[in-house]
Amino acid sequence: MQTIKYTLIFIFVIISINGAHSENKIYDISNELMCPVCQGQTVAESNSQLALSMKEVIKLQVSEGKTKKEILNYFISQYGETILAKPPIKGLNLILWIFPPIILVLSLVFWIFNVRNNKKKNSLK
Amino acid sequence: MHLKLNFYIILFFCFFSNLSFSNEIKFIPINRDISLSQEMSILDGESNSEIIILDNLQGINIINFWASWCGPCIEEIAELNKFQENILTNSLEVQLIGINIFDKKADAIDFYLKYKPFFKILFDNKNTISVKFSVMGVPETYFVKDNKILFKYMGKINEEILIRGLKESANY
Repeated sequence: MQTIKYTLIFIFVIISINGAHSENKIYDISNELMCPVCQGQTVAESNSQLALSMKEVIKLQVSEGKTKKEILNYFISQYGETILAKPPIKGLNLILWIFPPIILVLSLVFWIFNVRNNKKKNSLK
Repeated sequence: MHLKLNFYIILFFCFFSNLSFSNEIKFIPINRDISLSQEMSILDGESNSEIIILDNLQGINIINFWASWCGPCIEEIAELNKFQENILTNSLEVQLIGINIFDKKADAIDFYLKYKPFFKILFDNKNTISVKFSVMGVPETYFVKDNKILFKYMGKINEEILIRGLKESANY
C-alpha cells in the first residue's frame, strides 16, 4: 500500500516537473519570436490572434519533442529572419550590433573633447 | 521662394498618393511548398461537426482566410460566391476553400448562416493553420498549386482578382 502511495507521488512529481519544463520552454521560445502584426511585442507578450496561433504551434512542436533550434528554424522558414527578436550576428545584421557601441564611443570621445576644449578656453579667459 | 517650396511639397505628396492609390492588382509572391495534415471541421450550417483532414492540395486551390468579425470579409463574400458560381457553370479546374481563423466556432457558424457562402467552408479546430500559411491578417487569399503556395492577395478580393489569380496560377 505504502509502495503504491510513494509511486503515485513520484509519478505526480515527475509529471509536474515535466509540465513546468514544457511551459518554460514554450515561454522561452515565444519570447524569442516577434509578433509579426504587433508593434515591438514578442509572441510571449502579445495577445493578438496571430500570436495565440503561434503559441499553439510552439506548444504542439514542443509536445512532439522538437528542440528550440528546430522550432525557431520553422518560424524563420515561415516568416523570414525578421521574426527573431534578436537578429543573428551575421551579414548585414552585423551593422545592427556594431553600430550602437561605435556611436556610443564616438559620442563619448566627442563629448570629452568638447568639455576639455571648453575648459581650456575658460582658463585662457 | 515659399511658393516654389510649397509647389514641390505638393508635387511630392501627389506623386506618393498616386502610387498608393494605384489600381494595379498586386499579388505577393511566396513560392513555398506546403505539407499539410490539418484537422478541420466543415461548416455546413447543420451539424458543423464533420471532420476532414486537409492534406493534399493537388491542382489549383484558392484558399480564402476570413473571420466573422472582419468587415472586408463580409463585403467580399458575394464576390467569392460569384466566383464559385463561375467555377460550377464553366467547370473550371480550381477548388475554392474558405477557412475561418482567429475566431470562435459559434461566431463562424452564425456568419455562415447569415451570409450563406456556397463554397467549402472549414473551421480550424487547432488554431494553427494560419502559421502554416504565414497568414498576417484577414482577409487573405492564397493561390496554391500542387502543394505549393504560389502567391497571396491581401485585403478584400473580388471576382476580377480571383480570375486573374487563377490565370496566373495556371501559367506557373
